[in-house]
Amino acid sequence: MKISYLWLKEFVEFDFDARTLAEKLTLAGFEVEDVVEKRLDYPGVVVGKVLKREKHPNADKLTVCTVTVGEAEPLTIICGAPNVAEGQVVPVARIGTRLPIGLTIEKAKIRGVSSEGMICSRRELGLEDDSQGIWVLPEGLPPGEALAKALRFETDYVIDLSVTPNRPDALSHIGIAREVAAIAGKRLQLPEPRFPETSESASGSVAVEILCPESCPRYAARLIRSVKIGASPDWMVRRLEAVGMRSINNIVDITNYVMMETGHPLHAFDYDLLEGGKIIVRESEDGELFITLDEKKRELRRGTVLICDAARPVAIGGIMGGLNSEVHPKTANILLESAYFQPESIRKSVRYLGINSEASQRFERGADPNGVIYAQSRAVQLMAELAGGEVCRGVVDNYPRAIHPVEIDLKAEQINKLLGTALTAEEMEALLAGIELTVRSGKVVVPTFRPDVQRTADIAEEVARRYSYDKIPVSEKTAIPYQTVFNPFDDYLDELKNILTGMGLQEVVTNSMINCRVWEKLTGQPIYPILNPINPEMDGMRNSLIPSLMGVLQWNLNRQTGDLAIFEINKIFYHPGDITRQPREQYHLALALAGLREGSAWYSDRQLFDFYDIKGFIQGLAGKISLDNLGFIAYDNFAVESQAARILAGEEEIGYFGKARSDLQKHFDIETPVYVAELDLQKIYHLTRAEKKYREIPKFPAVGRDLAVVIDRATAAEDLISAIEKEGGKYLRRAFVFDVYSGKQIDPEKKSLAFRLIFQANEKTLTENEVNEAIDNILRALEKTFGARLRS
Amino acid sequence: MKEQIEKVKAQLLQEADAINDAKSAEDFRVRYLGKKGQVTELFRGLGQVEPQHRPEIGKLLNELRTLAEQAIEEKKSRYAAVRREDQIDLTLPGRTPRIGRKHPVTLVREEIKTIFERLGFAVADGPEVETDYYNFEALNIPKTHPARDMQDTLYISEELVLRTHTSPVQIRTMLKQKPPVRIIAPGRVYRRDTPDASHSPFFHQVEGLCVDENVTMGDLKAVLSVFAQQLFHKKDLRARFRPSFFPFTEPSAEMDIWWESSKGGRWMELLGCGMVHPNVLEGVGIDPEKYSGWAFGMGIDRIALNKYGISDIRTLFDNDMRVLAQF
Repeated sequence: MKISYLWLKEFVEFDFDARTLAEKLTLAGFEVEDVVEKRLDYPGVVVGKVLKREKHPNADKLTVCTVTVGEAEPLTIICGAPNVAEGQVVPVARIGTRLPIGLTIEKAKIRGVSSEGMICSRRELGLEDDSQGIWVLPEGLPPGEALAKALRFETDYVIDLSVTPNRPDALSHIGIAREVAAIAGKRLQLPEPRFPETSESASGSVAVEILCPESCPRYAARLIRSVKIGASPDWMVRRLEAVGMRSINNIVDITNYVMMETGHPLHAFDYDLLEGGKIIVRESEDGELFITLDEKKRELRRGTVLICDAARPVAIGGIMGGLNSEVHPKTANILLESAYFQPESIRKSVRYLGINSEASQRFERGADPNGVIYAQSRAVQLMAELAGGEVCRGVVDNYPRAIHPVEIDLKAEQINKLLGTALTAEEMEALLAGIELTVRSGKVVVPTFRPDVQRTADIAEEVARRYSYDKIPVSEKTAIPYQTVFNPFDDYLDELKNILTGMGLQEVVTNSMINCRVWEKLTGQPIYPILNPINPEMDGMRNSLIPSLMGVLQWNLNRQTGDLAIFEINKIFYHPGDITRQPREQYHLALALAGLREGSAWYSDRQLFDFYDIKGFIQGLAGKISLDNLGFIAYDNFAVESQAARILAGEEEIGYFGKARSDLQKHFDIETPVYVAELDLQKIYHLTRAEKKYREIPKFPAVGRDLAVVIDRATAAEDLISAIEKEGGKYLRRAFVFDVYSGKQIDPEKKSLAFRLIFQANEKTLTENEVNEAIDNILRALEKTFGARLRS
Repeated sequence: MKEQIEKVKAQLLQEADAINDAKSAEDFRVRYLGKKGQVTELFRGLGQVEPQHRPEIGKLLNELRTLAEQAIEEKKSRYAAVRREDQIDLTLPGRTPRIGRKHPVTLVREEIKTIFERLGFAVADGPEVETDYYNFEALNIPKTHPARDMQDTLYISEELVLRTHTSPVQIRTMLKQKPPVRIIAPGRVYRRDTPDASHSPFFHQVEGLCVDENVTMGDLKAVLSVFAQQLFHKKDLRARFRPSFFPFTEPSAEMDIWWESSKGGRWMELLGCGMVHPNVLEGVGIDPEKYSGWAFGMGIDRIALNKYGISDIRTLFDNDMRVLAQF
């Protein structure tokens, strides 16, 4: 909402300058976004008259103008605007003038011709953000006179406020003035509309019938005869411009002016275009067609308020007038509507119609049913004064069930308890009185222009607002409950991030929205779709983090960051098969590796990340979080293939990892091999919740033995280890692979696996014999089961 | 001659100190004791010295030579002690393990969480695909409420939305847990905004809720002021509260903090907050006559942008390693 500082001053005498006012309004809950100065009293900006206009000899688009500024010698001014013409009165900025757009006028040669000033546009004078051509002034202004003086242009400030949706009353100058009056401790002074009425009674020519009093509780009509449609006076045009409205003609301007002043939207019909001298307010039927004054054909749904004459609809009530009854240059008689429409009815209609008019904005937030007559009278007064209208006697006011002010008990104690203040009821009363919330026998009477005030909490806000939020004392201590529902899962996610970053993985945070079509094809699974996506790239909720990580790899690889080890912990969404149901949301962890393991540093082995790197990250993490009994089974899915495995923890499948699929690599245009992993964190969390228990360490020394065997290439190390553990006897503590070899001296169909075996007893030092016996048993078993042979 | 000897001696002592490896020790030897070394040259000049001074000058020269020899001996033995295999190049970078860092949004989230945990708040969570009821209705935002226009919503179906704020977690928490309630709910939210420098269709918020008997707006001011001081590591951070509107709080406020800058500073909106609306409390079966509460919601990403001086929100989600490596 744009508010003119000068306009505001008509209703309240306050002393703040525009900046101070802006600050005070912000602190009262009307956040000021901008304050724009509108002035014309720049030294050197004067009225000029174009005496002669000639083509510039050296430039097609320029003209050379001879302009008098009231002195003996006229000025030669080069002008680039196409609309400049002889005889025009124009604003001229003389040499040395500094314009608000930051330009200082200097004597200059433009393509060989000297220019002694500038003919200005409204933009160059800071009045508009954008304007077409130079500003042509009214004729008869004396050349040479200062422009501001000649136009009687008073410096104004336009204050751009963001009005919250609960305050329809503040969408007007009077509404804001009421707040300013309270802040400044001054009285609000409202214009008192007075106008002569003719002997003709309005009710003789106009009848108003309301068929839907629920959605239109009040409709008041006035008849004004013999208006002369014409231009509005300058002061009105200027005010409308200040608040961002274009002048149309005096009648339409008056309705807009009064709306900006009082907050109540009005509509003027050409009375002679209404059939039967009748207004019927009814709700629309499904499929009714109506052409609004923006010349658009609208198909209505059932339940929209229509203003009709005896034969047809003439306006969509509270939203937009109709083309068929619009005021036009020949209009003589006006039917002036001032009505109150029920906010929800308007909201429903604007939502499907897609119309957001100044009127509908106010009605849908809640206009004042008891402000109908005041606003109408104000407009009638202006129509009489400015358009020569003759006002028929009386208002045809249909208001079947009056809407009365709400009364709320003033519960001072409860308000203090909510705010943490210690105000007396009298102090509260005084604060409330400033904004016309009067207290009568212990009850706050809430005027109907404040539909937002409904219960004690609302009264508390008004008290606090008037008292100032800053004055509410800050508490010094609080009681904290001992029993609190803490959330170990969230801590666990934080801990995982600590571990993973400690392992050298970089965290990324990516978009959860992905392209359904592409991802359904790539994953072979349904993607949970978004009904009204921003664009097709974001029309579904991801069912895996892998696509997002591939995207991050791609972004960085394209920017020459080649060696990447990244992870993300975030939610994924499983389509429940039915979009009326919420998806299953699961926290996943995903890893991705690409490029050189040690980068290109001097010590790097220049090895690309491989399968054992991604597996190592998983095992390292598992070790750190005590996730035991991991098992790996060859696997492939939409993300991984060939060198890939499913991860089991005991019986439970907790994720997968491996080499990214080639079609995935291709989709992201990544050539270097990528290794990825994805784990279900909810499952892992439940598997690792057990408290840690201490195990005593053995007191007697351990004996280590190495055993290298040659076996078939395809034999899995894990199978041999199982056999070793089985046959190793009770003193075998641990067995692991410490070397894998194939090559020289080994049959190409075979490989050598070297195991380190650790033997230990809790109660004694082991003898050589005891260990040898175990090794013999192991070897026999390996020979028998796997055809293994001791490598010499 | 004497003066010359003194001069060479002073220079020699100074240069001897500067010897820091075997090579500079050898250079030193050549410079002073070599065939054309300065000390050698001085000895050559001994012939021209008058005979009666010769013994004295000779003694001085011998002392000088001994001095040089000692210096060379000492330094050579020190630096020769560095065995070949022990030779290092101090300037080569060390074998640095790969360094992983947390994302800036995570860093700010953790900082916020830590502060509120110190103040007795627990972390609550809720779904990102929410029902219309939790995201709007229960928060006093009926279907036709004009406040629904304040945020453009991404819908899944008539009744399901991508949550537009973390506020539904308030409702979920209050339905599960009776007062006292002290929670924060950090999480991801969505709006139907086309991405630009200041908009991302997904971003992160943290919600706060405190419900108990005798909870006042003074408590809200206290907790949020302390929070902001700790978040920005500034004990004397200036903050102000001004009236605003949210359908689910009454009174409602916005909290601004004074943001110092080279141009002098400005008020910066930090968060929205207020006393929980009695309609909301009633909706979850809490008696607003007995209990009161306050709530707040703020953008984590926005704070990260301000804290780290990033001007484009998209920078956070491009995940460019050159950016992430700075945190």
